[in-house]
Formats: sequence, structure tokens, C-alpha cells
Amino acid sequence: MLLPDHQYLTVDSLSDCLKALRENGERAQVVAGGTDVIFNMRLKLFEPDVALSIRRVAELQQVEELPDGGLRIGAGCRLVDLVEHPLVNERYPAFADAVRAVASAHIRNIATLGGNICLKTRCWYTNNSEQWRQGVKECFKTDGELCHVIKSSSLCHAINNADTPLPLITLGAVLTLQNADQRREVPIAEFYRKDGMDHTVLAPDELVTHVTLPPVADRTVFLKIAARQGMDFSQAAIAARAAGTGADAPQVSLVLGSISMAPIQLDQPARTVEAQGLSDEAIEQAVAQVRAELGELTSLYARASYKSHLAKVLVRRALKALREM
Amino acid sequence: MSVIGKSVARPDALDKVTGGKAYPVNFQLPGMLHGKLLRSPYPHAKILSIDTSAAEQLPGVKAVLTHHDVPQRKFTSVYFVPTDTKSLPQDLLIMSDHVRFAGQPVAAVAATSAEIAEQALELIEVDYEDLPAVFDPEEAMQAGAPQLHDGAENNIAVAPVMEFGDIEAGFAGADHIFEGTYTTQRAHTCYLEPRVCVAEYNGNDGYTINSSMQHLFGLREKLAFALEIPESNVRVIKPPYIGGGFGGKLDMSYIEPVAALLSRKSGRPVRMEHTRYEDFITTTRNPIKVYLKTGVKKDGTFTARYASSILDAGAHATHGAEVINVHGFAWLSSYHCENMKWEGKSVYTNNMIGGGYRGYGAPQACFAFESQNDEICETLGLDPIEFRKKNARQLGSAHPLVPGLTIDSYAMEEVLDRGAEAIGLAQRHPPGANGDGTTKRGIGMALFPFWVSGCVGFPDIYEHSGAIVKLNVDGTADVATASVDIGSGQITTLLQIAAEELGLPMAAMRMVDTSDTTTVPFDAPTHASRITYGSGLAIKAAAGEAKKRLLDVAGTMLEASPEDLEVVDGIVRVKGSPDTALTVADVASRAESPFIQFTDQGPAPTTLAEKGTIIGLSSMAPPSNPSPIAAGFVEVEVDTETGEVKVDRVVYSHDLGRVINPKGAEGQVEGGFQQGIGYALMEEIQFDPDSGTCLTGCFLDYKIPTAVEMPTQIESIFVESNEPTGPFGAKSMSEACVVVPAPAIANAIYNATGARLKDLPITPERVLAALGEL
Repeated sequence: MLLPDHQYLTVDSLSDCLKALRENGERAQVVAGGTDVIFNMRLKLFEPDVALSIRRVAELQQVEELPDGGLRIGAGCRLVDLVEHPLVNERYPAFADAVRAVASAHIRNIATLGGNICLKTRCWYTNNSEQWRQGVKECFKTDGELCHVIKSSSLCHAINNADTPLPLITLGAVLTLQNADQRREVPIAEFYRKDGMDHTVLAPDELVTHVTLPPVADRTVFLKIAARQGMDFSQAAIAARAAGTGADAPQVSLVLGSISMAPIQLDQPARTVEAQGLSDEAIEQAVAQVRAELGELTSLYARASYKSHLAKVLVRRALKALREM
Repeated sequence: MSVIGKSVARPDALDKVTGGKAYPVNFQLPGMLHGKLLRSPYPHAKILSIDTSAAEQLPGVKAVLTHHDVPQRKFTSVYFVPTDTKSLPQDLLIMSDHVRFAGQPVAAVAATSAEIAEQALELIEVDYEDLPAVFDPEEAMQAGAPQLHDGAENNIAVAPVMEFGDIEAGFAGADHIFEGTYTTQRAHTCYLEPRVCVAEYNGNDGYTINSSMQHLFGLREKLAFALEIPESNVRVIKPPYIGGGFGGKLDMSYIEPVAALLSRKSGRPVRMEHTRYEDFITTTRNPIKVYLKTGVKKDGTFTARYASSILDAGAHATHGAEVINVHGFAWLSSYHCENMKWEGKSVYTNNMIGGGYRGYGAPQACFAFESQNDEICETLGLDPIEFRKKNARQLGSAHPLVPGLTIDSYAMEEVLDRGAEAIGLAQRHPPGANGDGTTKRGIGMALFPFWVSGCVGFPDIYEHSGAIVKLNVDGTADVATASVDIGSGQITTLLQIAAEELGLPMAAMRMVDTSDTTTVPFDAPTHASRITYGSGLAIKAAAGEAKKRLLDVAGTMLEASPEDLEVVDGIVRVKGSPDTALTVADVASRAESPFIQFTDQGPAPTTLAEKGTIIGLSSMAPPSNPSPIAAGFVEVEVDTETGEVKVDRVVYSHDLGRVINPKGAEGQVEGGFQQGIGYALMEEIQFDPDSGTCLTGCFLDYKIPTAVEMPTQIESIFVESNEPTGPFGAKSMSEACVVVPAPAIANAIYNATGARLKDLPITPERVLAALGEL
């Protein structure tokens, strides 16, 4: 369980970081807080030649108020900074709740927003030490051709357990991705891929530098269910947003996390309550439409039937919570 | 009493909260090497060949071992049973060419750094022949299943049976018969300090070992046996304290003999430390499937009790061959019935080996019988308190397990009444009737009516203790014992007992932290809730002997008869005449002084008879095995939509004879409930059903409750029945509080929802399934 041999490279500026990423490409692993990366390196889940620390890059650690009332958050901001930030709490309470739901106070003191957004997918067959992985056949993540979770699958079914992207998707946040030559703006809703192996559109030489949040006056909520309340990944989590007041909800967004390889946007249930309002009947109708939107579920970490049950419970609770706001 | 019953501070507390330099994990020797184990990834295999040549050539590697290099003498690793009694199967080897579980060590390396040792492991080539494996004990007993050990037909390691009265007649006389099957999972103690040791070869077949373990003399005996050397060639150093044990360090692990042999081969001390993953597959509370059939009269009186228990021992019997017996004892002794029969089977599988864990078979038993008792009361409309009083054992009756002993203290009724009153049991709602919408509340209880204070009367298990108590000329006292403090505060309680007996203040007491197997008398392990009672009696006896000598010298000095003297707070004085007094320091100084001492007042002659150190020594077995009685009462909140269970409130009531240190005892209860709540609701070591590989080898995947999951209120009620054979009336504490949580929580969930959960852990998935929601 010792760290694999690697060079630990610390950069002070974004341009140095991007230069180093350009030089090292897939041989480098960015370390922001390191709470997940270092642990997985100990498991030898990946063995980068270069661990590229961005902890000293001050320009990635700012929360900037935009003229339109939105916020531009540096990806290097620690979760604790966001939890304690008055504007984040005031303007994006569901996002603040999601940040607060990550792991424990100790981990939030060092983990970063960018790290949570890029969090690698997890699987208990593969997120095990190298010596133990020898007992199971090689899977997609370990250069094999198989997924232990669904043996016949051509895809890796590891779970995306990140909590913070869920409210960010409902809020219409945009990520800034930058390499040594250029930057691009990608809505976070288009950032994730439904593949546990290659789970984001981020290129090896790119870094997520900022998260831009537009002004949002709508009602929002974030709910998380985990095997325990403290220090745990979600078994299922939801972020929801609705325009309007009371039962009137002309625009609704629902995003589920931690039950699949990527966050799931629930379209049909959202359209149902947009059309019919947040009455108990409409909510139940939306809940009945959830399962069809989830696609194939696995029994990784919790039984598939339990995950789909939790998805329905969360949709019901989130919609009712929005109605009460 | 001046010291007993007071919440004195732990002498080791400051050291622990400032880094705990005395933990074995911090022990180092100059020039020591670091050892690592290569473990089999396969659950059942024959090793065809091992090539270690590349590893040996790696710079920094000083020694490599395989099964070819280690003695092939089979042993049992369980500390509390002498190996040569053969009461437990001797089926374990330090390393073998036959792999029986995923994780069994197949080679070992010692190198100048842990990094190099780990690197060297990757260079070892092992050619395995894969063998069919079996992971389910019931499948393992069927014809055609892979056979794990010669001589264990159908993979049955041991199959004890106990029978009293006429079970068939008992069932024939019953008004109602209840049947049920209850299953429990594999759980880990989660001691925070990993298993760790430093071994040094001293030449002439001799070794010195420092290890994080629960029994000095057990390690000495096991290591000597496995290495085929005389026992006294092994010197085991006593750690001042260890970072948690809970029974999980009650057996010799692979690392101690391997480190010893690596040290011998390399000529340097070798340190080995488990990763958390290795700890998770080293020892576990054995899973047991319990079938209960119970006959009762209309009024709730038992007419027949039958149980059959199947225990998954894993790849080697070790504790699994004894846990099954103690599990049977826990069921059998719990309630009185004329007609009882129990059949146990401890079965080999290709799972990880089992081990000791607080309660040692009792949590599995109590979960089953207290769940069923709740069902009996609910079905027949009986009061749960009266039902238990009616069937429990009684003060003055014969000890149910040890012939010749009687029950001399047993405040069962007070334990039940005070706990029930505090939680409001009589006011609880009928099942499913408390709460609205998706939130239901319930109250449940469980009684653990009979347990042990040590192992007196149990076949082949050590139960004697010893101590040395020595007074210093400054009026302080040193206490030396082989009894290891595994985190439960033995240092403090044992010093309190010695202080009370000597008449010294706590500040004058010191536990000697440098003993080893060559300097202190034998002590049985720190297990079986035995330290306060068993070691406490030995400490009290040694202190009593020292005090007698103190009073003899003081008598000379005060020109009084020793019988007329008393010692209070460090002052020796004549009873009824407190001004005729000396300090303990004065007396000890006189006893230690030269024969004729020249002082300012001139020569002060003393007699030859009073010369010498004021010292007391004991080595003795306790006279009895008194039972504590524990009842747990919990209030839970169940989310019927998600299946989540939150334990809100705990009342724990316990007859411990006499409380020595109230804060320490409360700490035991709170820690016990943390482990008990985890066992009840979330903890489980899980394996890949295909490969037998552990999937929950870290604290992310093996869930233990955090502070957030703990109830906001845990009320401890200590009932003091004053055990006549105990030190100042004390009996035992530490295991019962981990036994009652699971059945109490299951019964509270029933009260909240009307759903009866019979499988641990009671995960939200299982709650929903029981509610028909999944």
C-alpha cells in the first residue's frame, strides 16, 4: 500500500501547470486536494510518472462575483472555502448543501471543487490493492476486456460518486477547460460520459480551471442518501430545480447521481411536473416514470432494485421539497 | 472506599493523546529490516513452484522465505489454550504449499525498507494449481464438496452437542412452539492499531518479540511450538498498552513467526506491520447461522429449547473451533429450562479464518434468542420483562456451566426494572403505531442474562493471574503484571484495586511498563471480560501481601500490633488513635534502610526481621466465575421509505458487582454500542462470490458508525450486586455491552414497523424487503 514511484511536481501558476500537462500528457496526474488521487495511487490503480500538484496555484482559488449576479469559482477552491462562503450559500443553497455533503469536515478541509468534479469512478472490484486485484481477472480499468459488475458488458460500470456536479448541472454551470494553447467552455451537463473508464470529456493535457454559475432565482434542493451519514459516498443523490412558486413549476430540472457511471438527467419526470404542476398526483406520475430513465442498473455497492427504489424516493422528496419552498 | 468507585483519570491518557509513543506500532530497533508478505490471490490452490531468485537479487533485500524454509509443524494459533492439550484442531502452518483462502501468505521478504520489500514481492513468481473452492458452510458439508483438511470429514472441524432433560417430552408439553433461523455476518473488530511486531533473533535458537497482542504468554507458547524450540527461548516484551484488541489480537498471526524467521535468516531485527486490508482478512467474528425451536407454556414458561448452529470457520479452525462452544454456552446458560438440546458445527470453508471478537459467539446467540423471545412475547401478548424474569436464572441456584459453583450475585430483576423504567418500556406503542407518514419510531430491548468473568471451569482454557506489588521508599508503589491493557483501561482499574487494598492514593501508583515473560508471573489473556475479576483478584492479593509486610514494620516502629493498624491515603496509623501515625514512605524507608542507619539524631538501629523491600507477590486462579447481567434498551427511528434506521436513544443496564471506575465503565458501554450498532446495521466483510477476494478491505467499503450515527444519548445504569468472591465486589463488564445492541435494535425495528428482521446486518435494503417495498 505504498505509493508507486513518481515525481512530485509543484507548480505555482496556471501557465506552468498547463505547460507541464502538455509535456507529460497521460503520464501526469493532477493532484489538487489529493484525498482521492493519493489513495488510489496507493492502491496502484494508476501509477503516474508525475504527480502534478496545483495546490499553490492561487489563481485557481478565487471566488469571483460576476456583473450578472453569477459566480466564477476557481476549481482549486477547497470545499471548506465554499461551505463557508456567504455568496455561495446565499445564491446557490442546494450547491452549498451538496458541498457540505461530501465526505467529512477533515476531507473538505483539503479536497477541492475541481477534484470532486473530476472524481474518478469507483468499483469495489478494482478499487482494491494491486495484490488483491490479482485474484480477479483484469477488467477494463486494469487493461483487461471485462467488467466484473456486468460480465457481458462492453463498458466499465464503475460508479460516478461525485455529489457537487448534480446541483451544478441543474444550475446550468459551465466549466472552463484549458490546455497550453486554448480554452473551451463546456456546460457541465455535457462534461460526463456514460463510461466508467473514460468518464469525462477532459483531454489528457487539459485542466478544469473554473466553474461559472449563472444567476439563478429558482427554487433548488439537494438530497443525499448514503449507508451512513458521516464520511461516505452517496448510494443515491439528487439535485432539483424549479421555476415558479408553489405547485406551479414551468421549468424543472432533475439530476440523479451515484447510481450509474454518470449523472442522470431525468427528462420525462421533469416534463410531467412542468406540464401538470407539483401536485401529489403529478409527482407520483413523475415518480412512475423514473425507472425507465435510469437505463441498466447494476448491483455494485447496493442492489439494483434498491438503487431504483432510492431514485424514486429521491424524486418524490425533491419535488415535494421544491413545492414547499 | 477511597479509590474504588471514583472516576480517576487514566495514567496513560496524556501519553496516548500526545502521540502514544509506547504503542507497539511505534517500537523500533536500530538496524531493523521491514518484512512484507506475499499473499495468495486464490482461495484454494496448490503451489507447484515458487521462484524467488529475482527478489533475492534486488538490492536491499536481506532475506526471503517460502514454505520450504519454515518448520512444517501444525499448530493452533489461539492464545488461551495450550497447544499440547489438542482440544483445538492443529491445522495451521506458518507457510504451506496448500493455499486455503485468498490472502494466505505464500512468501515473505525482509528488506532495508518497506518499499523495497513490497517491490521484491512483485518479483516473486508463484505457479499455482487452481483447486475448486467452497465458500458456504452448508455446501461444504455436502458430499462432493472440496475437502480442506485431512481427517475433517465433510469439512466439519468440530461438532459439539449438549443435551439436558428430555427435549421431545419438553416439546410435547408445550402450548406453543416457535421456530426461526437467524443469520449473522463476518465483522471485524476494527482495532485502530494494526497488527504489528518486531522480532529479533538472539542466537542459540532464541528470539525476542515485541507485538501488538492480547497475551504475552500465549504468544510465547505458540511461537515456541511453531518454531519447535523450548518455550523459555522466546522472550515476549509487554507493551505498556496496545491500540485496541477487542479479541481481534487473541491469536498469533502469521507475522510473528515469519518476522522471527526472517530475523534469523538476515541476522537483523525485522519489523512487520499489516496494511488495513491485511487486518480485514486476518481475523473476524465468525458468521453463525442459528436455528431455534422453542416450546413454551401459555404463561411463557419454557418447556423445551432446541438450537442448532452452523459456524463458518474459514480456512483454518483456530478460534472457530472454540467460538462454537462458547456460543453454545451463551445460548444454553441464558435461560433456565429442564429440557434443552444444542448441536453445533464448525465448518471449514475457503473463506478467511475467524477469530476472537468481544462476546466470542455470544452476539450471534443473543441476537437469535432475544429476537425469538421478543416474537414469543408479541405473539402471546406477554410482558417482555415478566417473561424474562420468569425464565431467567436465580440468585443462589447452581451455576449452569461450571459444576460445583453457585450464582452468588445476580441482580437480574433490578437490571431489567431500572432499564425498562428509564426508557419507558411500559409506555411504548404497539408495533407500527408510533409515527406518521414514512417515519416510524419504536422501542426494543434485549437481555443478556448470563455470561462470564473469566474462564474458570471451562475445559483447557487458562485462568490464572499473577502480580508483583512493590513499595518504594518515597511512598509510591509499582505494580507489575503480564496482563495487557488493550484499550479498555485495565491499567487504571488494576491500579485502583491495588491502591484501595494498600491504602495509597492513586497518585502514588504506577504500572510497570517494562515487563516481559521472564520477569512477571503468568497471566491469562486480556479476554473473556476477565481482567477486573481475575487479574484484579491477583493484584489485590499481591497488594494485600505487601500491606501485611508494611504493617509488620510499622508495628515495630509504632510499638503497636499490626492488627491494630490501618493505612489511609498513604498514612499508617493506629486505629482509633489517628495521631499515632507514620507515612508509608517512613515505613518503606525504614525497611529498606541499612541495618544501622546514622541520622541527625544518631544511629537508628532496626531489627533484622523487618529488613527488606516491602513487596507482595501472587499467582492464583480466581475462586468462581460470576455472571454479569446486561440489558439493552433502544429507541429507533425507521424511515419506511428508504429503510434507514437511526438509533436515537440507548439505555444500558448492567449488574457488574461493583463499579471500579464509573467513567471507564461508561466508556466501555459507549464503545460497545458503537461496535454493536455497526454490527446490527452496517458492518460486513464481503467477498467476491467468484474469486473469494475481499471487497471491503478499507474503511470506505467496510462501514463502521461514525460520531454522526451514534445516539445522542447513552444512559448507563450500573447495578452493584456486590459479588462476594470479587475484588471489592466487582465482577465483569466489557463484552456484554456489545452483545445486546443487535437484538435490542432488531426488536425496536419490529416495534416501529411490525417487520421482523432475522439477518444481520439490518441494512436499509433488508428493512425495505421486510416491509415489502423492494
